[in-house]
Order: sequence, then C-alpha cells, then structure tokens
Amino acid sequence: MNKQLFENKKSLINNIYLLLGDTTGKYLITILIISIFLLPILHIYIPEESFFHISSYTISLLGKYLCFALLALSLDLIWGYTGILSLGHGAFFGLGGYMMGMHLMREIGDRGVYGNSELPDFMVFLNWEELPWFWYGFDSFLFASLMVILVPGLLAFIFSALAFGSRVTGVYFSIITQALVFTLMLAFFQNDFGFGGNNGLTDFKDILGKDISSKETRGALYSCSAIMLILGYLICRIIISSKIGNILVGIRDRENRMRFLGYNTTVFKIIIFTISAILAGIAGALYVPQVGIINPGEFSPIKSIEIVVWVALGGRGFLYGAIIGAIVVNVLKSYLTIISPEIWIIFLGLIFILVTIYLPNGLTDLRRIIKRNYGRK
Amino acid sequence: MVENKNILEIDNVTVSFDGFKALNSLSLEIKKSQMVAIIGPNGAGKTTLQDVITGKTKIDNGKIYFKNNDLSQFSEHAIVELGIGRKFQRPTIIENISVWDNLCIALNTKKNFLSCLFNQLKNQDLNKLVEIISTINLKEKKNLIAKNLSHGEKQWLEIGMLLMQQSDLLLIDEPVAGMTEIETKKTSDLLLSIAKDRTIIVVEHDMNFIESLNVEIIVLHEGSVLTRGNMNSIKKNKQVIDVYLGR
Ligand SMILES: Nc1ncnc2c1ncn2[C@@H]1O[C@H](COP(=O)(O)OP(=O)(O)O)[C@@H](O)[C@H]1O
Ligand SMILES: [Mg+2]
Repeated sequence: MNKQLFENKKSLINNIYLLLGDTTGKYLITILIISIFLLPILHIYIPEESFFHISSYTISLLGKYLCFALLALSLDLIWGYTGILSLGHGAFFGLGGYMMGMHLMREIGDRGVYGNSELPDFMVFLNWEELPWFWYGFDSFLFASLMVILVPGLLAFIFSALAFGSRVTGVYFSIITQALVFTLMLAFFQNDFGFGGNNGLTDFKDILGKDISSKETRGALYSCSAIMLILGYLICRIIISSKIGNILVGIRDRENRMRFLGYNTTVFKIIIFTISAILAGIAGALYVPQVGIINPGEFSPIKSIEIVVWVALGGRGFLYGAIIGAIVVNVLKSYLTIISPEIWIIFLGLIFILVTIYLPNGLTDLRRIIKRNYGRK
Repeated sequence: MVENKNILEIDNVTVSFDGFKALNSLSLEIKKSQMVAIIGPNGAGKTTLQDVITGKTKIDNGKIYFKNNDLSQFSEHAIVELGIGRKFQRPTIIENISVWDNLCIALNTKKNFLSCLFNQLKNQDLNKLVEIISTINLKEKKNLIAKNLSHGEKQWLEIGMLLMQQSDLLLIDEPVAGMTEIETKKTSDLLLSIAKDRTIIVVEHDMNFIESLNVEIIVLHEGSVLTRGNMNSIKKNKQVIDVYLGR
C-alpha cells in the first residue's frame, strides 16, 4: 500500500509554519510582529514635527483596534467554527475591562478629588464607610490580572454549562446571551452595585507605577495588545488545526452525528465558549488603560451586536478574517462618527445587510471574486 | 455467570408519543456476530427502535440490555463507547471537512478535549484508516471535501466512519434508499464484507437488496415484532403479506 500518500508526520518547523495558517494569516502576523517594535519607537523617539511620528492619540487608537480584533477573534472561535452565535460577548469584554479598571482605581490612592486613600472617589461621594469585600485584593496587579481571566471565564463556564447542558441551541441561545449582557448593563448602571454606576471607572493615574498617559506607557500598552492578539491567534490556530477543529465543524454542521461518534459535544461547547470568553476578557482588560475609562455602556446590547458585524464583514471561520473585519469597521467608525454619529448606526446596519446578501464569507469573498475576474488562470 | 450469546436484548419496550405507541411492548433478541434485516411498513417503529437503542429517545417502559448493560443508565455518547454505532437514514457525514478527516474524527481513540487537542495519529491508527478507506472504495477521494461526494459515496463514508469506531453493533437505517443499481450492489458487498466479526442490524425497504444479503429477517408492525425468519418463510407468511408485502 502506498503509505507515503497517507503519511502525516511533519517536522517541528513545518508544524509551526502550518500553525500560522494560510498566506493572509502569515502576512497579518508578520505585520503585527513588526509593529510591536516599530510603532512604540516611532511614538517615543521620533520628534513630533517629523512625518514619521505617531501621536499618542494614534497609538492608543491603534491599540484599541487590536483589542477589538482580539475580541472579534474570540467570537469567531465560537461562532465561525462552532456555529454558536453569541450576541453577548460584550459581557466578557466588559467584565475583563472592569477587573482592570478596579485595579487602576486602587492605584490612584489618595490622588483622587477627595484625597481619600482608602476609598475610590465615587464611594466617598456615595458616603460609603468602607471598601466593599469584592474590591479586596484589587490593589495587586497580579490579583487583578487573575480576575481578568477568572471572572469572565467562570461566568462563561456556568452560563454555557446551564444553557448547553439543557440543550439550548441556535437562536434561543443567542437570545439568552443578549439577555445576559443586558442584565449586566442594568446591574452596572446601579450606583449601589459598587462599580461607579453610569460614570463607570475613570480618572486613572498610573499602571504598574508608571504614568498611564506617558509615551512609554502608551507604547508598551500597544505592544502588549499586539502580543496578546498574536498569542490569541496562535491559541485559536492550535485549537483549530488540531483534531478539535474538525470536531467543532462537526458540531456546527451536525451535532447529532458527533454525539453518535461518541463525542460529548456539550463539554466541547462549554470549553470553547469559556476559552472564547477568557480571550474577550483579556481584550477588555487591555482596552481600558488605553481608552482611560470603563462604563456600563460596554454592556449595551448594540455593542455586542457590533462585534458580530465585524466578524461577518471579515468573514467568519478564518480567524484572520475576524481581525481584519474588526479593524476595517472600527477605522470606518472612527471617521464616520466624526462626521455624524447618527450616520454610523445606519451604516453599520447597511454593512451587515450587504455582507449577508453579497459576501456570505465577508471580505474573503471579495478576494476570491477579484482573483476569479482578474487573476491568472 | 452464564455466557450470554445475545449481544442485544430488548425486553417489553414501550415508547409513546402523545399517547400513540410507536413501540408497543416490543421484545427482541439479537445474537452476537450475525447480520439481521428489519422490515416493516412506514410508521412501524423501525427508526424509533434505533432511537431507543442509541439513547436518543427515552423509553417509557421495559429494558434494553447491550452486552448485559442496562442502556437506560447510559447517555448517547456513553452508549457509543459501549460499542453501538449508528448509520442514519439520510447520509450524516460532516460535509465541510475532507473524507479523510471524517474518518479521523470517527477513530476510536479517547474523545475528550485534551486528547483531541494533542492528538497525533499512531501507526496502527494510520493502518486502520488506510484499510477502511480502501474497504469503502474512497481511497482516490481521500482529500475531497465530503459534500462533493455522490449520494452513494456519502453513505459508504458514513459506514466507514462506523467501522473506524470499531463498534460491536452497527445499526444501519435504509442504506440503499436513493442509490443506483450499481451502488446498491456495491453496498450489499460492502455490508457482507464487514459482517464477519460484528453484529449488524439493517433496516431496509428494498426487498431485492435484503434478498441479496441472505440474512434473517425481522418483521415489525405497529410497534412490535410480527415474526422473524428467513426470506422464504417470510414471503409465505400470511400476516406479513397482509400488512406489508401484499400492499
Ligand atoms: N418524535 C416523534 N413525535 C411524535 N411521533 C413520532 C415521533 N417519532 C416517531 N413518531 C411516530 O411513531 C411512529 C413510528 O415512526 P418510525 O419509527 O419513524 O417508523 P418507521 O421508521 O418504521 O417508518 C410513526 O407513526 C411516527 O409518526
Ligand atoms: Mg424510518
């Protein structure tokens, strides 16, 4: 028998190369790797008059886009590959953000308006006597980082175990994810809830003892965002290019078949949903120091739906598609909201409708169409 | 303990849907390592019978034992681990992955998340994959995305997936429905070639196909077993002619 035909062992280097995905994915990761070093250098060392200088506004904006890209990536893992549409991924992004925000609030110390070293300003304002128990530990960056992973992860685990365990699927699942994020929004809007009410957490001063608005910090935050995006991409690629990738497609296309093949599909879905939520939480935690605020608006249902539009536009089930989609839509958003905020929401709806009808695989379809019409035979 | 020759024992099983008894006090024994065919008119309960054996539908009354295990204690995927494989009526393969990958996910290795994440094909697995992809005649189409297969090829791929699982009992629902004559012939050859060391229950309408298998036949009617026997005795049975063959 021609065994070579079926041989699947490959060298380690070959494996790593394969892991990066197809050409587009490799380009994207290469650009990201270069930007880790290049952008902070252009921001910090190039004089402001120079054409090549990158302003602090721009570098934070780009960092923000990368956080959104990581968020989109996390949605693609659960939606694109596993076929489970979460309309509430903002919940995990927001929670990750709040966990980081709580730490940044504690780092303010007595430099707040009220100069109270024990309590954040908003608690003083509410006449609270002492720090609520759930704020304990957030003085430590390490503890906060742990919570960034644990809180969204645990919520996702419990939520999905309940939903998938009772075989809630399809559109019903999507609806309850909206309910989840909406509930969080209502809760975080409450002043008594202990997270700053509708103002959220803001006026941060330092991160890890460094001035949060200094050039070095902004450069470092950008680099961290790029590194986390690359790591997130690699984690997703490791999952997708292992046997799990095929199993997830199987769950998406024919869950029953997978059950009769002996897979506990519920467990697979719970694990993937939890991993996805953790990635979203990390994205939120990196986002907050770069925009300088986290408030309940992040939990608004429309924000979670926006994430779906990013992934749909980029093309779901490609990973790099989600990254490109998130960046393209948010660049457009930055420009259009300057012109008029009302136009933006109409435009967003329009993108979604057009993509659904004409580009079911998002921008990746566009590439195929161009190749077909203009490419070499 | 007495050595039990029956791999499957169905004891007085009843399943009702809104009061309608799809299975009505059905009892049935299947011996180890034999192939049997189940026939019966539409609505006789053939699909429901497979649903209860595989744990998809819960039974209201009665017991099912597989290799002396009470199946009511097992969930769907645990029943698969016990050794029951199921081929659905319509081809249910994973359309968007390749023929090869379909067989790989059916391989009877550990099926938890971590083992799947770090899974590397062992040599013996590879041999088995090559052997089975040859058995089902899809070696040339190894890298084809499964949705591009013909109807017959999809059915064989699904049978191949059951073979990968190394189930002791295969349930096969209407394998040749919609197949061409040549495909039908190939399918009966395939089933006969794999029947040597496992138990197979085939549900089928096509009497010529069943005749070509030359196996014991069980006739189902209104949710219970009407009779069982070889082709000749079934063809002569007055009741069977009345409810099924005569129509
Ligand atoms: N999920 C269900 N809900 C209600 N009735 C069902 C269900 N499944 C099967 N039935 C009924 O049970 C009877 C047996 O069905 P089935 O096992 O599919 O028969 P067969 O496969 O022999 O044609 C039919 O009358 C069918 O309508
Ligand atoms: Mg049927």
